[in-house]
Amino acid sequence: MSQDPLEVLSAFMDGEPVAPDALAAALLAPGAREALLDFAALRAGLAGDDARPSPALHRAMSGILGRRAQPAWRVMRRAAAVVVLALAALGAISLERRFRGNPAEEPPRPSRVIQFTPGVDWHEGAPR
Amino acid sequence: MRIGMIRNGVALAALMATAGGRVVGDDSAVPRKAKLEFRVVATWSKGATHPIGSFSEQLEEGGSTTANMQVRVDTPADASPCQSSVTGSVSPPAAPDGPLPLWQTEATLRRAEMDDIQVDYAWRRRSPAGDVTHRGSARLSEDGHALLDFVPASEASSGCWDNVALELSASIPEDSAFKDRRIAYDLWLVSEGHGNRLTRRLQLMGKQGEKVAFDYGTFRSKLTVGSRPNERTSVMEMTTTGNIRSRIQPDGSIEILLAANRGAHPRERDWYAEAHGSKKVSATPGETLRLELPPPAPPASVKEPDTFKALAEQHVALILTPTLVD
Repeated sequence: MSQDPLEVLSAFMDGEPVAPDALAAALLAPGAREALLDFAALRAGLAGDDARPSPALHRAMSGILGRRAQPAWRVMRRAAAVVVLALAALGAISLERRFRGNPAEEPPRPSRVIQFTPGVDWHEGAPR
Repeated sequence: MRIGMIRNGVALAALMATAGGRVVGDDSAVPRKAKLEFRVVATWSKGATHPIGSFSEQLEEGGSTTANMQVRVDTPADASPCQSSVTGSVSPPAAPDGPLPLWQTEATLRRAEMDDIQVDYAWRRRSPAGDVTHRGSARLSEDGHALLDFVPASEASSGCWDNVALELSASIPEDSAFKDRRIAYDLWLVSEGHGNRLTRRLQLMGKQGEKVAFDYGTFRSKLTVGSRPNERTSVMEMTTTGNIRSRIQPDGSIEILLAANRGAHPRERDWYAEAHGSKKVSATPGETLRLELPPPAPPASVKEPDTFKALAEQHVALILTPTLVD
């Protein structure tokens, strides 16, 4: 049974063991290059996230919590983590859409298939 | 009706004496109709060809009509420009008037379908040089025309015309309830096979009964030709062109006539193969149809069975969704 190319590429990017044949096939799948780029961008975004609360937020939180700055900072770190997770989820949705194909780039599903019959309504050569 | 034409200081008059159309229709429940037109065209000396008069009548299938058309030359004494005039009369002339022909025509409408109008006709040309008659059938596309008779006329027209001719044309009259409606076509080309898939999309629009052309340009596919160990790859340049004409029907459906042409040409060689066809289908607005286009057969001079086997494995289809435009 063949594996989903997205899962293979994702596992490879996560450092998990991947069969060379499966990786080769996944790399040939349509959209593999874009998926790899998206994985790399997501990973870079997560690693490079250095979001910190602004001084204004520090002051506001200090006013509310008095001198208990440390617990407030912990709250903000948790909030930042939630934001990062939300961004990651959005990225995953985007990747899924990319793999399944943009609906605007695929024709609608036909309700009827009509065949031309050679010799009857289909003829060799140019139309007269 | 008077049509002014400026040329060489000679006034010409083409008199078309037409008898009122005699129509004999059949009694089918929904008779199909077509408009038939007998037209006289003239070619000016060293100039272009123009219609100078016509007789037309709308008929139901099985109906027939007759007409008498006298082309007459009036040579002016002065240097006034060339002119033509067309007049009609109920009764046919007893004899030709002048050196140009009197055409007596009749036609029966045998079939009136979209882009397929069949007419049985007969004409008699009467002139001082003698009478000529002919009877035949014509299968015409909409707005197509057939040349029925041709008469060199330079001498008789005092140098104004080189010739006059008789044509027959046909068209389908539009239902007044739909004639200004427009139909949109979402038309996809899908080419798939040998591990590759290509799609191209065209969005077109046409009025009721209007023929709309499409052309997807050239697209290339890599075909795997032959079998191992002699397998090789051939790049095939392919084209798909055609046209669509459709009409909204009183029951709300759309009658569609789609004509398509599929061509193929290998990039490394110099032959070209193509095939064509047309299909009439009825669809509901918004319905999606897939029309499979068979591959062309090899030209007689080309002996490449492996290439054409690979070409046959490259499936090409049109996917059409017609919708009504508000």
